[in-house]
Amino acid sequence: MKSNNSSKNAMTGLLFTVPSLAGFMIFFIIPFLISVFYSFNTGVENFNFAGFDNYKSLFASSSFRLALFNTFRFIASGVPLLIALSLLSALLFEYLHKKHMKHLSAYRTMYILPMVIPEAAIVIFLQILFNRYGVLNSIDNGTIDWFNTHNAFYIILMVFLWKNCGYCMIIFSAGLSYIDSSIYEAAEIDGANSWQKFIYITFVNIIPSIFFVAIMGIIGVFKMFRISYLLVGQYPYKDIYMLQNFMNNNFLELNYQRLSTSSVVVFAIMAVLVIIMLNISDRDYD
Amino acid sequence: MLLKKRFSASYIAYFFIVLTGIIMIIPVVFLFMDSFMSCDEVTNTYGILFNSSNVLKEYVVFKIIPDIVTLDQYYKAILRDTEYLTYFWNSVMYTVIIVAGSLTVSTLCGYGLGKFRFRGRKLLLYLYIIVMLLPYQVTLVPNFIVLQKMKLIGNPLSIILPSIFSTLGAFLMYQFIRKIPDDFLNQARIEGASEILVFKDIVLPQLKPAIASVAILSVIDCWSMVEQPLVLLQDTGFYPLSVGLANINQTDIGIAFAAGVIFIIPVVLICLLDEDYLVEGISYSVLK
Repeated sequence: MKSNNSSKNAMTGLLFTVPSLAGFMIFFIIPFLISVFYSFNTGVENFNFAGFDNYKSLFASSSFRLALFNTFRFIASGVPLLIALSLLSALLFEYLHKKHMKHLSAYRTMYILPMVIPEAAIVIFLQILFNRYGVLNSIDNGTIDWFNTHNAFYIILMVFLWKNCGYCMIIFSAGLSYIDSSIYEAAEIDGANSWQKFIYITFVNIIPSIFFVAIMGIIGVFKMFRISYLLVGQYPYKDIYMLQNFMNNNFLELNYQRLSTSSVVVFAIMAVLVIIMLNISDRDYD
Repeated sequence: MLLKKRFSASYIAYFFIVLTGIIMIIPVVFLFMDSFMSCDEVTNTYGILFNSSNVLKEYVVFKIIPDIVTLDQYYKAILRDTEYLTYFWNSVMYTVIIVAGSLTVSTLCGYGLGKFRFRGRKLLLYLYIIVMLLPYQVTLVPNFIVLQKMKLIGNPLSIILPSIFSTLGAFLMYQFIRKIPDDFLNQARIEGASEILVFKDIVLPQLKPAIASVAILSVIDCWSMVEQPLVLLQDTGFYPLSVGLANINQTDIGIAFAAGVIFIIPVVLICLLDEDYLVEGISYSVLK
């Protein structure tokens, strides 16, 4: 009787997941396996095993290395900044909430707004500021097309922070709300000062959230492709040419091997990061 | 001394929050204010941005307050410019179809993953999470290959179909469904209800806030999608507004601001009115 129930249970559960599973297999799993296959192949028609040749030539390509370097640089500078800013904002919100600041929820709405604004809508704003004939140039009578200088990196970095800060702040707020306030009281009784309370209670409990924000930050970095494409097109200035640009350009040249190889590489890196995050945050998905 | 300390800490925090809040909304406010300029005023003020024959090397000036407040841009954008409307309705169509399909698939899947036990369930869940957290470009490549074989490149279905099966919705639904106590379900089963009835009459009503949150997140995602249309659609007639708007900015700057405002109105309304559902959706993707 019991085994009948559990296998019937299993069957029903499986049936419910079938639509999603079918689409998932057709549009993600099987294509990804095909991708891996292509990456180890010489051509798309034949079945010549090419070993790691494709990978070697990918890493030998200067445009891939440039894209990889730029992407890493952006992630290494943008994500920690994002974590710091959004954590700070979340803490400040908590603090002001305790002090019963008026209209705090209005400010939270203002923080969330950038997250929902599509990139296309702020492109005109950026053009007005940074174009060759834009406002920033009018101040010193220069004629620099800002998007073609190293400053383009900082512009995109600022847009990245602007867009993602609110979203990450919510994640931190959610994480903070789960810390039991009685722990703080117990610590105070034991004589802990504010700094100690922060490090040993707040920070330790926030670490899973920090990892999640880091992952969302990395995804946000990849989304910056939208801004750079809508602003300057396919071939941006070298300092902001990132992995997304590399892959996109290869699409238009229908270079399957290169595409597949680079996407397998990126997948592998992201998968490792995600698995680390899942283990650190000690989730229990039962 | 105590008074001085309390004064500075709170006020610094307050100042920071207000300042960053203003920075957050400046682009939107600017877009909104300038959308009330007449088309000619816009071209006069900002036309030189893209005009490469600008010999005089004039500069644009930030105009927050229009000289004349008029709805000229809106009229022109909606009535005169068929290109803009095409893009807009494309966006609407894609979003509605994708969100409807995605909610159906995700709710079913979340229920199966959350309330039943079968072999491979945990593996599937982990796979879903990993794919969910990948950047678009990684999943776009396999997508492209398969869509090519299905001869769907250039067809709007190439955007719609993969997005319906996005794993984000399924995972969020799973998180929400876990919270539903088993007792309700078991009670109904003991009384002889079929699984479909249990799902329809017990689970679904309890999921209304979850459906709202997932729908909102999906709408925001769809409304601003850029990578997929760029790669999978060649005919610009099929472009959604998220991609088409940049073209309009360059070719017809006169309506650029109103075009932008109309574009962001739906999502901004969602943010203002349903902020709680949005926040809940985000929190649920993180918490246990």
